[in-house]
Amino acid sequence: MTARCEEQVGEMELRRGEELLSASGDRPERFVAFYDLTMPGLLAYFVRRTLDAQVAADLAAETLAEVYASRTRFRDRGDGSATAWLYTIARRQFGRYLHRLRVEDAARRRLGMERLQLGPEDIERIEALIDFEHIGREVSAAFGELRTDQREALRLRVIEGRSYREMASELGCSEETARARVSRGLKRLAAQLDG
Amino acid sequence: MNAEDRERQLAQTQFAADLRSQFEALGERARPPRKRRRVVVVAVAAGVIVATMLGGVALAGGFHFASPPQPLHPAATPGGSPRHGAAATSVYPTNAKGQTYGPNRPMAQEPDLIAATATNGRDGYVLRTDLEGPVPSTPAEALRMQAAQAGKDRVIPVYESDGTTQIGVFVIGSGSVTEVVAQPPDWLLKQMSGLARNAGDPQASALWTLTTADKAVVVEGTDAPAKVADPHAPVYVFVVHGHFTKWLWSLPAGVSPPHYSWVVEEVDAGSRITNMSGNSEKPIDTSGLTMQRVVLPSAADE
Repeated sequence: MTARCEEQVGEMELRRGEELLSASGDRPERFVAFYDLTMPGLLAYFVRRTLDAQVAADLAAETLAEVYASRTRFRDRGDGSATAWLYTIARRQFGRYLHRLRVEDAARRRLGMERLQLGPEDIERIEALIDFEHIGREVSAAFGELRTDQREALRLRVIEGRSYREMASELGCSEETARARVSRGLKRLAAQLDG
Repeated sequence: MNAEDRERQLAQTQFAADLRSQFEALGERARPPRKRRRVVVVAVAAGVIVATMLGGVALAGGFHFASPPQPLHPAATPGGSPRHGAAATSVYPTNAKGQTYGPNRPMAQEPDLIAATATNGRDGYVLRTDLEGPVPSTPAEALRMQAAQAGKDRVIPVYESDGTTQIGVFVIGSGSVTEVVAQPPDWLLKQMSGLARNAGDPQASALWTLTTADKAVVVEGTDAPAKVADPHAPVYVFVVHGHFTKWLWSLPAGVSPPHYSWVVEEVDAGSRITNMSGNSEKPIDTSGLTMQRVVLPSAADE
C-alpha cells in the first residue's frame, strides 16, 4: 500500500468512526460497529502502557462502556473527533489507573456489564503485542530519570506492594508525603513513556 | 507477523467477542420499539432534513408566502377534532360515504382519505389504498413489483373530503426516492415536535414531504443549501408553523427577540442532526414541493 493510500484509508477510518459513533446516539445497536472499528487499537493502546493483558482488557472495557454511556453527547465535527473523544476517555481511565493502581468499573456497573476474565489463549495473544525487551529498556531509562525519592516510593509501592503506612515508616515521612511521591512518580513515568 | 497484524488479531480474541456481545445486548435492550408500519419501504441510503420553522408573526399575518399558505385542514385547526386520540373512528371525521378523512395522526390508524397537497397546490385527500398501491402477497412478488416500478412516478388522484370530487393529482416516488410513506417516520415526528416544543410552541402545526435533494434546494432563503453533493439523495423537508418565542440557536448579533423564519438541518443516515444553519428572516417558499400535513405528537405521546 502506498503512503497516499494509507493516508486515505486512515482518513476514511477517522470519518467512519465519527459516523458510527454519531449514528449510535439514537440507535444504540449501532455501537457495535464503532466497537469493531476501535476495540483492537484501544486494547493495544492499553496493553502497551500497562504491560498487563488483564488490566488492559479491563481498561478497554471500561473506556468503551464510558463512551457508550456518553455517546449521545458526542458531536461530529468531521475532524477525527470520534478518535479524539475515545482516546481522551482512554487517557483519563489510564490516569486514574496509575493513580489508584486499580481499574475503575463505574461505567460497566452502571450499564450492568460483567467483568470479563481473560483465558490463557487471550492473554498470550494480547501479550504478543508487547515488545518486552524494548519496553524494558524504555521503562528502565524512564525509571532512572525519576527523582530518587520518587523512584524509591515507586519501588516500595508498585514492586513490593507495601501499604502507605509501611512506606511512611520506612521512608521516615508522613503517609501523605509517601502518597504524593508515588503519585508524582507515576505521572512522570507515564509522561515519559507516553512521549 | 508484524505488530499491526498482531493488533488486528485482538479482534479474534474471546474477550473481544464476549465484550462485543455485551454491547450488542445493551443496544438491543435500548432500541425503541417500532410503533408504526411504513406503507412501502424499499431502501433509503441517506437522509437529510431541510427543516423550516416560521415564527409567530407568520400566523399573525406579518409574513407572506411566495405561494399563499393553504388553510389548515379542519382536523388540524385549533378547536377541531382532538389532536390525538385512541381509535381511528373517534379521531377522524367521516364523509357521506362513511370514509374517514384527515391528516395522519400518531398513535391512530390511518384514515381512509389521507390529507395531501396536490401538485397544483390545492389541499385535499388521497385514498389510502391509492397511496399504498398494490400490496404484494409474498417477498418475491414485492421484489418484482419494486423492479417494475423502479424509476417511475405513480400518479394518484387528490379528492375533496367527499372522496369523489377530484381536485388534482399527487405524485408518488420517482428517481432515487425509494421510500414512500403515508406518515413521517417516528424519528422525524420526534424531530419536528421537539423543535416546536423547544421553540416554545408545542401546538405548532407542520407540513412535510419526502423528496430528492435537488428539489429541496428550491426552498428559498439566504442560508438554503446552494448545492447538493448527491442530487438524488432522499431528503425530508418539513415546515413547522407556530408561535415561537424561544431561541433555538445562538443569537444573531444585534437581534433580541426570536423571530427566526426558518432553519435548515441535516441528519445522517441514523437520523441524528449533524449540521444546522438558518435564521433567515426571508419567508420560505415551498410551492415547488408537495407537502402533507401532519399533527405533531405531544411529549406524552412520544
